[in-house]
Amino acid sequence: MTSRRSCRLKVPDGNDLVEAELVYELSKDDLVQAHLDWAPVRLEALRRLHESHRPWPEHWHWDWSKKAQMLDLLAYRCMGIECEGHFQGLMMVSTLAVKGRLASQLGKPVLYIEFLENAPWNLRSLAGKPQFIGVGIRLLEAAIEFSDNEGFGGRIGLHSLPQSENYYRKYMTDLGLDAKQSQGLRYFEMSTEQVLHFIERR
Amino acid sequence: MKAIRMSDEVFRKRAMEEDGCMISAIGLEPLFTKSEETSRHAAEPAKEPIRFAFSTLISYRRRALRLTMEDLAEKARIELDELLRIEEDANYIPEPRTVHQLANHLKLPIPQLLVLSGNVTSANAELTEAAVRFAARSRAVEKLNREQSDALNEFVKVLIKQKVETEKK
Repeated sequence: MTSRRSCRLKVPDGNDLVEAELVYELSKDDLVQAHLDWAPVRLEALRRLHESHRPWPEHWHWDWSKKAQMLDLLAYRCMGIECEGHFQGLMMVSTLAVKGRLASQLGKPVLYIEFLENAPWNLRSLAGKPQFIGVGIRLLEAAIEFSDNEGFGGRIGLHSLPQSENYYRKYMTDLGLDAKQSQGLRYFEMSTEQVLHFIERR
Repeated sequence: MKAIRMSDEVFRKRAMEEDGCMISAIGLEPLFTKSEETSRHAAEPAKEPIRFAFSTLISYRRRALRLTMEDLAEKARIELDELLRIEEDANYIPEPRTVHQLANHLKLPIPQLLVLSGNVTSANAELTEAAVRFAARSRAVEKLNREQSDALNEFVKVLIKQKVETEKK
């Protein structure tokens, strides 16, 4: 697998797609840079939300520069979507498989997504009009591709923050609250069959 | 699976479905700090890289021989669940029979693998050092690149030349 490949993102108005790049392996420096890019925009957006008494996103405090130290461990890989010189979304996966929990793939290897986040300027709740749309879709597609390359059949799993549950419920199976997860979040899994539905290749 | 990327048309549709959604996902605690078992082992730092070297060695060697997890589990006559746990959980100590089966099918020396897997102890400092070095150089990725293959080959060479005086646990 090369270190990056082209992919396309959607702009909010019209049907146009713009060229972007999926970067397969980010360095610690990349994560620090992403944090430096994202933090001021996020803080400004939070200030506006606070002033207008609107709820904050649940991940408002995330700091990817702190997650960078996880890349010292052998088991983590971070990927990102880069467009117009900035990271538009980031995802960290565990390259050591977890066991599938869905009945149809019980015990089979599943790629686990440790973290996934959109850049603050791509969230309507923070930015009003997003700069790019579909960053999460591209990251899920990358996770599926990685899972397939690992021999995990494209299967992926993750714990969703409550505000994101409806999004993941569209494509993955909600396996309920997970007592093992430190924050008691719901666990979602996408089977090989659901992958085919997600990408519409049957 | 044939093609895992979506067409532009499907992407446009999915992107519209995403518009306005939060997409944040958060994981379990980082490796080595997520289980009580791990906390117990925190007092024994030297064992972590050795156990991690074992997990990674099995994973790398399997991939170097171009075997899927299912292939290896079937050939070695071990449960896929157990193989998955071996590669996933550095704190898991497999049964000696499993280690024997893996050693035979991955063409690795049994005594050394028993040490790395935590089934027996050894005071062989060179083996420990090689395991720590291997763990530090390794990264679990989809295909082994040159550097990772070199790290694997170097570690396997050290394993093979070691004479391990072991003590069963």
